[in-house]
Amino acid sequence: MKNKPLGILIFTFIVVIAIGIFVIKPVVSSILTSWKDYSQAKTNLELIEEKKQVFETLKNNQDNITKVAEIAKQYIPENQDSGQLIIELSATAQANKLIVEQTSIDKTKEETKAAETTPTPKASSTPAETQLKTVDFTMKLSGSFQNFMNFLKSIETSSRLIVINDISMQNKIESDQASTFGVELSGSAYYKDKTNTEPNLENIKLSDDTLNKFLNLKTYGQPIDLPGESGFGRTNPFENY
Amino acid sequence: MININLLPPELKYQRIVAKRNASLMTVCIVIIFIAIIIGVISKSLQSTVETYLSSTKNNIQKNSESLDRYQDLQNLAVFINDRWQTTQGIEKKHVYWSQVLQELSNSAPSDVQFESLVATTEKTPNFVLQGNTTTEREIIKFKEKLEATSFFKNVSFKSSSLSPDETTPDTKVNKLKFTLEFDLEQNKAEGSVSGIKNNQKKSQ
Repeated sequence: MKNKPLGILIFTFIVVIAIGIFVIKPVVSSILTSWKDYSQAKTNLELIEEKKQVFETLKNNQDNITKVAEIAKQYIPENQDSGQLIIELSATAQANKLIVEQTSIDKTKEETKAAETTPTPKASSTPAETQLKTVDFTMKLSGSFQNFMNFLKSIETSSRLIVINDISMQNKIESDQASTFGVELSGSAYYKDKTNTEPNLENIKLSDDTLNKFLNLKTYGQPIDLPGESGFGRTNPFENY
Repeated sequence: MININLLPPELKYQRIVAKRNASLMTVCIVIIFIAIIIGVISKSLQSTVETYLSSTKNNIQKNSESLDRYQDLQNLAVFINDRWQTTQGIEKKHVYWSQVLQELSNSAPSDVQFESLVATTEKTPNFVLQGNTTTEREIIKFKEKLEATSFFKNVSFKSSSLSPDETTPDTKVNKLKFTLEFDLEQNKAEGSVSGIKNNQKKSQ
């Protein structure tokens, strides 16, 4: 009789433990796993739905996007297109009344500095610039300072991204007292054969700023009027005073 | 009224124990019942969560299939963003020479003529300028003007020498040849890259 309460307690304990171990524990564990999967699936679904919305917006603007992609492809092409580059540089020089004395393509190299300076690559495991390569060129031109300035403006707003690294200008006095203006310059054009940006949600969104950058290439780097001051300022500083 | 229990003490004790056991049994049954209820609720919850999960997975499957038709559009968008990011990186070191040289021309006093100018972004000094002028005062004016601009820094006077001016027939006229070295401080005029913004402002 004295052991009866103890027996009841032990029996209850065993039954509760058995229910806990064989019923509640696996079910709870399964609920937790399913809940985690559900939360993940819900997030994925939200992402997919957002992605779908982004695509719908892009689809409504498809013509513009195709146009911008073409411009972007020209701005930083997939191949080095060095022949085209030489033609473009020479044509730009000639259009600005400069005489092209020499043009040469130096070498192709991989650009690594740009990768270091990239502010925030959008969720990309490798920086977007790691595949960036340059085509280096040199040019020897002659003409006038003003025409050379116009040439620089054309290069800065050209349809291909061209960066001038070195300029050497000289005003040569000829034997008959006439002077000729000569320039040697070296620069780089860029190309990138692979796109290593991940197709995540951030990278498929196209902001107006991005589209406008490419659509308004001619306004990019547009020369501005820098104010002069009395007693200073020369239209052609290589000309005699 | 006074209740007097006349039962023998053993019987009394047995009844107390029987009552206590009955209470204990009730409590234990309730506990077991609660455990069973929890088990049933858990099972039901499990089934609900699994239904939600299955439904969400189906939705994902459906939406993913519908996204496949946007593959070309996705490639275009990723390509544009990739080029944009690349351009942003290059823009940081892109020197807009037309603006820099315009500023240099604007800073030249009217009595200063450039003879040669070597500009580079690779090494310092970024600029080595050789020119001619009339007096040393003009060189100092030029140096101070360059220092005052936002484009140039570390302007240093290197040398000057007096030589006959070959451009004039008068052999008594001399010109002062000078060399200045300086660095680039700003690679483009502020706001120039936002030509887009300027255009937008104009259109407004």
